[in-house]
Amino acid sequence: MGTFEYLRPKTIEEAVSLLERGVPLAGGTRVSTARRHIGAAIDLRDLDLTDLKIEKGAASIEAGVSLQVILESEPPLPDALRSACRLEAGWNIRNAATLGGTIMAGDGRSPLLTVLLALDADVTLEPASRTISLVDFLHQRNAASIHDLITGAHFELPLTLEYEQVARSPVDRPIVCAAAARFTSSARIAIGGFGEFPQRAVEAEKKAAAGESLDSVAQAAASLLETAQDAWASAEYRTAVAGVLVRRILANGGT
Amino acid sequence: MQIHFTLNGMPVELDIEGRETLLEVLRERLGMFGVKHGCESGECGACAVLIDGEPRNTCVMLAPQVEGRQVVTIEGLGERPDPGWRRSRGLDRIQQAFIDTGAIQCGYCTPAMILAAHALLEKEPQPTEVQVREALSGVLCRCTGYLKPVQAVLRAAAILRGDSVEPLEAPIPAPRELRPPSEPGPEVEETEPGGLDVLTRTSVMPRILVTTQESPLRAVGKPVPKVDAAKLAQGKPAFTLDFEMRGMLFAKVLRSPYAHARIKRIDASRARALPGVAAVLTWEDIPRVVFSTAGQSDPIPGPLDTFSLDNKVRYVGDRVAFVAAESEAIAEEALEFIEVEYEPLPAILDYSHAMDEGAVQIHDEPEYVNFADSDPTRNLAAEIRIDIGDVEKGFAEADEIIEGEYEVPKVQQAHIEPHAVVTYWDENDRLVIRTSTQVPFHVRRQLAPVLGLPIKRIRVIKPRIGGGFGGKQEVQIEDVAAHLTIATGRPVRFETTRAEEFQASRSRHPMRIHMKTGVKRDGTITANEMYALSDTGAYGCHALTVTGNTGHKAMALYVGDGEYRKSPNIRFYADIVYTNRPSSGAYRGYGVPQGFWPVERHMERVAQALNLEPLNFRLKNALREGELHPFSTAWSEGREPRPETISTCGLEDCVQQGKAAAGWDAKFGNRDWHQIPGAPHLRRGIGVALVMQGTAIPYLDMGGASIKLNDDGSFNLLVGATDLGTGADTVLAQQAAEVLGVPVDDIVVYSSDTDFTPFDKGAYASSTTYISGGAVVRAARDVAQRIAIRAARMLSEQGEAVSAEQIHLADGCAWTPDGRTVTLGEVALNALHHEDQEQIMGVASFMSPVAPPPFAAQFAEVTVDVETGQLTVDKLVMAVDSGVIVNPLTASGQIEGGMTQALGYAVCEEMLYDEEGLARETNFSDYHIFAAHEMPELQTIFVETFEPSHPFGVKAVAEIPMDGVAPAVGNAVMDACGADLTEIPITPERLWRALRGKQP
Repeated sequence: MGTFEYLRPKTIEEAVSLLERGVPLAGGTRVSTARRHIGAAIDLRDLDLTDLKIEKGAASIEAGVSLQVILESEPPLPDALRSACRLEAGWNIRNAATLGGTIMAGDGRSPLLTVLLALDADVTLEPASRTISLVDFLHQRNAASIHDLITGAHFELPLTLEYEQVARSPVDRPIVCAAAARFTSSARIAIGGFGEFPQRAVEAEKKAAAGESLDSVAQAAASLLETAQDAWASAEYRTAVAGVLVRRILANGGT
Repeated sequence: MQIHFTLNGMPVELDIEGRETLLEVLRERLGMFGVKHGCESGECGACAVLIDGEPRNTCVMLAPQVEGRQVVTIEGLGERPDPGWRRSRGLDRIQQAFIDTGAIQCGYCTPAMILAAHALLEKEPQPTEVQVREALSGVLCRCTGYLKPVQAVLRAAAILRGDSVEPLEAPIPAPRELRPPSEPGPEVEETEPGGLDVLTRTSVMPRILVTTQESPLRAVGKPVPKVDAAKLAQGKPAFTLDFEMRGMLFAKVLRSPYAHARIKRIDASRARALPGVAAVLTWEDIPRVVFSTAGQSDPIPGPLDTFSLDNKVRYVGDRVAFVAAESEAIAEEALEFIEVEYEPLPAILDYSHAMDEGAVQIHDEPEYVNFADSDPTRNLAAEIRIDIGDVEKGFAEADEIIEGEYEVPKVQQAHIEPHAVVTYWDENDRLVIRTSTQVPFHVRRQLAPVLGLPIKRIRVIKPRIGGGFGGKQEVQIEDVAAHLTIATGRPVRFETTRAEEFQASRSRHPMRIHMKTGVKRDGTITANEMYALSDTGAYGCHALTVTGNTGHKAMALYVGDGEYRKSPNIRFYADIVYTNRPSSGAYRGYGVPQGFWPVERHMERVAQALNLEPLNFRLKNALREGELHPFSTAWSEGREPRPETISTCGLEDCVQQGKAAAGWDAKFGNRDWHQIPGAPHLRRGIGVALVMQGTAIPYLDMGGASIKLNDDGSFNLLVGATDLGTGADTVLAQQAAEVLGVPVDDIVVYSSDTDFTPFDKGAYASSTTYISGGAVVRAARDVAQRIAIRAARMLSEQGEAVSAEQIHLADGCAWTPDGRTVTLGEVALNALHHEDQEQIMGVASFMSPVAPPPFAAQFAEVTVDVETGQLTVDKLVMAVDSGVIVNPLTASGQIEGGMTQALGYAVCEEMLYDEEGLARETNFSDYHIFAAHEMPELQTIFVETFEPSHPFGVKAVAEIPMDGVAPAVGNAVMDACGADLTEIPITPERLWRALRGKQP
């Protein structure tokens, strides 16, 4: 076990410059468990990335906003987004866990990541205030440049947002989950419950846009899980049930 | 680095290491022992404190994160209101409500719950039940089922608002159809299926159908607050590791990465050379003494097959070496410097193949000591063959024979306090073992030869325990710390991590079970047979006795009817095999939950096959009062079996009460009720299971008690009995108070210290209220007699002569028939100081020739999503005959908590291993236990009977709630949608496949 530094930058620029030395620390629910194996923790608290704004039909949520703050937010922030925060963890962890932390560390069984994918969220990174889609960020995040700091996420408010999951108990982590968001001119569908992170069902979205049947769209979405076999469930089950969930949430959301 | 924050209103400035967690700083540096360690990843919430008014888990906060913030721990809340001449602020309303409502069992999660409640009520003074459950959602509790904590918060909120609340003794009203016309009472509201809005009654008292007593009781039967509740509500340093000693070392264990391997070479020299390391022990350094870790009476009813450290490892996680160092971090680092060369061996991970021809022999050590029919050459830890009557004849006489295969999983006790121990030499060179154990006397006896010490040089102390449930009925970690204390001469503390709990602790025996039942068309069972294959894992602790109970209880319930009732035909065969998985052991229910899943699912299938009403079918064949327990002449946990008659059986009344509360008649088999309007993919169902357990082990379990009178008329009650948070100290005090005619507060209980308290076999087999209580009553009666003799003399000197036989004790006084009194304080002063001085005291033991079974009817209501297999349990109702209920709050708490654990067994808990023997579940994220905000409605009904073998008529209550939930849920699923499940947990995929008749 080597030395350990606790660093607390005052500005984003300073935080970015420190990323070479350690790991960003927001709520700390993940970083603290790895503390014996990292050289430094960069506490982002003083950056005060805690703004949640709804304007011009879009939501901008800074990376340091806790899941509990999102859950307690009023409409027009969608109910399903709040429900996903509730399912992500109990109250104590929600008081600490942040949006940025979940984007960085959430796995395939994360209800919140699934919902954010369906919202087609963009992630803002520093330096240079770059924006990247969450889909692309998730594919890159493990190999991600250690010089990038998540500062927030942004999404257009949908007309409807639906989320459903199947789990062993009402608040257990999902074995299969699905989220669908309907916007003015498009729909977005995300499937979770397996793997490193949830997936956008791009082919299913295309079928929906082309006006194909609910069954066709659901089947296309479910096909993402054709190899989703693990200790928790078989691929056969996940595929079948994903199709059911997608049909339901599309029907509920009027898609 | 230095940090500055406010702790309980006081400024703190502290030099720390940057990577210390806030939990470590608060406990180890600042002595805030009310903040508890339960896991290392923030899932259990026992470590929660308020940070700027919000509950946050301190095990996942680095200490520097608290810079400039306000921290409140439980120590910052109320305190006892009468500390001598000083006036204190008293307990706060939330703490008091938790005490009053019986919301505190082991108390380990209580500080976190109370703090969460504070945060909620600060924001929302009039919370709904949903809001309360959300507030408690971050704190896992394995004891209570959350019902009473929720009620406590709602009560506290009402009191804080100035609203009136019902008296605590106000009973829950009976269902309308069971109420006499003269008692209309409030309605019992129906709830919507599933979801968050679970009904919480404003009363905390369960329904009790009280049995007739010879005379009114004053202490027994009352909802007295637990005697330890106040200290637990204050977060007092009452648990094993709430303890500091100069020079204490931290222990860690190096664990095997292989499921099965020999240790060819082990070199600890580099580890020993690490600065701060005080000792490293391998199998080469300590005496090789074979023992069993099962905490049981002598002789151990099982093979001796364990060494503290061995040159062979038998599961992933098995012990390889022990390290003691100046800090936990150094000890952990030292593990990496121990060089081990393994020779991997073939591993047996599927217990169906443990006895295959040519299977690798897991126990080939020459020191292995057999017990009964164990045979390590066949990987057989125990074998059971019980034949009662003539099963083959019974099958021949049957109209139908129905067979089935069933499976139950490996699941974990998951007590929130991990295993924890401190060992040290006292000033008399005696080894003190302060440990979170259910079996202090067994620990002492069983460890003595392992440590090379006589029993008289070992003292075992059990402080408060943060849950046990059988997981601490084991000599599991005490030897680790003890060997290191012997090696170093210094105090050593050892606590398992949550991952180690899952990887290397005990669990419930998984079993594969075959049932075969012969039955006539009228529903008479002519023969009933069970074969159980049980996986004891790497070591044979509890192998024989757990599986023996599977048959002894679960297969005893149904004896048949008519001639078969007089002479039942029952067969129970079992093989308990070794595998290279972590050991199974004792878990609440002790084999009986494993037995009732197949039995009650099978009975349901039999009833369906014959088109019989399932409750009538069961009652037709169930054991009745006055009948012989069919297994009592066949088997008794390794001792000589003796015949036993069932003296009390309230099963039929339990069925009637439970049926009414659950609404059985309107729901079972009712397709209209099954369907939910507007939700064509959902089906509701209702199911039932009838169960029985035991109360202690006859002719084996013994408890002792001593009571002495103090100068002020109070008493010290010393018992060896082990309170795990169940309320044992309280119910024993109640029984003493009843005999002595004093308030329970006048009984000061000290328990579970091998130097000071009489022997008790420990907390298992549901024995404490009955066995230890029997000893307490005997001792109290001796004391009462001594008091009566002296009081009679004193009162005769003051007036008309009176004999000791005419004296009765009540309200802290000795009374003559004509109303003259002398206080017990006056009697005490007279006895201790004035004349014919004596210490009035009584010492007694109790052992019973019978083990009177409690009986219960468990009902479950579910909702099934037939498209996805998602199962939601909406309601659990248990009607229980546990004899006379000594304390309705603690007893109903046992039922609520037990049903909640059993719910996990039914739907989500299982421990799985990969092809290398590595555990899939190592934390509470993967091993899901139910949380406050996802609970079904829980109802408890006590149907009292008076058990004649105990002075107050009690039977056991602690284990029976584990038995019926899983089969009741499985039967409810069958009612809802026809899915016929034979394996638990009923995961969504299993249910989905059962609906479609698909094999995996």
